[in-house]
Amino acid sequence: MALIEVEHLSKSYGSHVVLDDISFAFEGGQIIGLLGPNGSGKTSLIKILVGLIKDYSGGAYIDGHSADPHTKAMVAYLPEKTYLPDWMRCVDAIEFFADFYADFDKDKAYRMLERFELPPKQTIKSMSKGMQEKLQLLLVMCRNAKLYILDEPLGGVDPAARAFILDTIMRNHPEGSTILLSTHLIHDVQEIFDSVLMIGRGKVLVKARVDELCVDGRTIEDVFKEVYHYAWQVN
Amino acid sequence: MLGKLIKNEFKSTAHSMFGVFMAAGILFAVMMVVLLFKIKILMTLTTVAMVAIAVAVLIITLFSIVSSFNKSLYGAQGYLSFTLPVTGKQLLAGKTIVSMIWVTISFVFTIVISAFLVVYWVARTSDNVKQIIQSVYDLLQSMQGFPNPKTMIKTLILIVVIMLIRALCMIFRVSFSLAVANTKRFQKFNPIFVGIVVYAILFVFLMIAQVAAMEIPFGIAITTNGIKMAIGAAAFADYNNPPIPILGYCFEIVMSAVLYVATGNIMTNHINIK
Repeated sequence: MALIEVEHLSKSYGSHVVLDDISFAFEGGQIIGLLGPNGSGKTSLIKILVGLIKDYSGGAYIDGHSADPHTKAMVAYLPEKTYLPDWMRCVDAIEFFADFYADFDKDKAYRMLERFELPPKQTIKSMSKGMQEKLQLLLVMCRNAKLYILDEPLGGVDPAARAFILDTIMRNHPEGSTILLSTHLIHDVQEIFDSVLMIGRGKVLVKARVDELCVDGRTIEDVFKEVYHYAWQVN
Repeated sequence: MLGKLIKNEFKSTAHSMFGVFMAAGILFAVMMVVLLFKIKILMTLTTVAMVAIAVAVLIITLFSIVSSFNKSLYGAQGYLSFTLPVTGKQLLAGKTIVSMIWVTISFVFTIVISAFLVVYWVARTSDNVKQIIQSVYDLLQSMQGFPNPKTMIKTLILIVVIMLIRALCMIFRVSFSLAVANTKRFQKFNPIFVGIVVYAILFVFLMIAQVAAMEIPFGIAITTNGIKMAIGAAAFADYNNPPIPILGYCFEIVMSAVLYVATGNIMTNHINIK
């Protein structure tokens, strides 16, 4: 059974269709790049998978279930937004995650807190956006989840921070787990993907394994440019 | 999971409530000093401050309930709340239980403060507070139809139950109103505005139902010797003290159950986190 399965999924905002009857499936144990320019429906697709958007037609399943407590227990989700309450301190956030997720590694979280140079008693309110994002990344990567869904973790940060984030993700995800990482910044991450899904104009434009796609010296970035240039011209 | 939700919800809301209860504690200590040294000029000032704190407790409790349902579910924090491995109904139950705890604490606090202020002002004019309170109680006891001590306790329990039913229904009206305000249909409007409109509609509906229920002679009569059911017009006319019509409160219990199920359903199936 596929770990991620989407069947005839459609989602629109008013008259604007962002996902138009798309279907695909991915097996587990790989790193999947969810690629597309801004506004191509990546975040909507992710929000449907994790259960934050409920009004859609078609099906979106993780491990055979549409978003429910079972899927939420196995998915470690990193949204674009900072979502921790203002009053929380780093230690409170760690305790919170330890309370709700059986796969959360508290000792690892405290070790990473030190490595990330985040003051344990500092409140979220008094943290910079960068510090908050670091803390959220830490919380997500300290879970031994079956599936990591990371929504634009590299957006809006400088190249050094991008390298740090990628390194954290690659070092901390358990062997055999799956990562679905959405981004529009292909250049920095293309080496890590096993498969890619390119979406745009509501449709799946490319779904392939990287080794099938990158032949004759072509990179994912080349394919991306080719596909989106084409897709944007014909639509 | 419900226990964990309650624990974390309590931690979250305690932050907004902590300050006002601490202020009340400090003021209480000041009032004791004022009373001990009979500094009459400060008595009025401290009394006004305590009344203000009692009012603040009620306002902050209400604000905290609204914030707990609106901000932490449908704002950015919804990304955290709605991705926890719990059902929508568990989320709602956790928030409702904690809201009920805070409402109860606030009610008890307000009652204790009111009783304390009475004693405080009696103590201002007399040294024998206990004797004055006893004579007021004796006067009430001598009035016709005033319940005996055992019935008084039962009556107090009845009042507490009624207040809890009303508080529970109020919390469910708030949670339902905010859930409706955050559905796709209303998301383009200000959620607080839509929430207030939905709440007002529910409130008017409840008032009409309660007024209608008062016409039906079904209630509880508090007599000198106990609490009895009063059913039928003849039974209502029999008592010195008019019985309390309870059909309206029964309606609030039914309304609470319906709103709980409806809100849980909206949260599970109709909410899109922006």
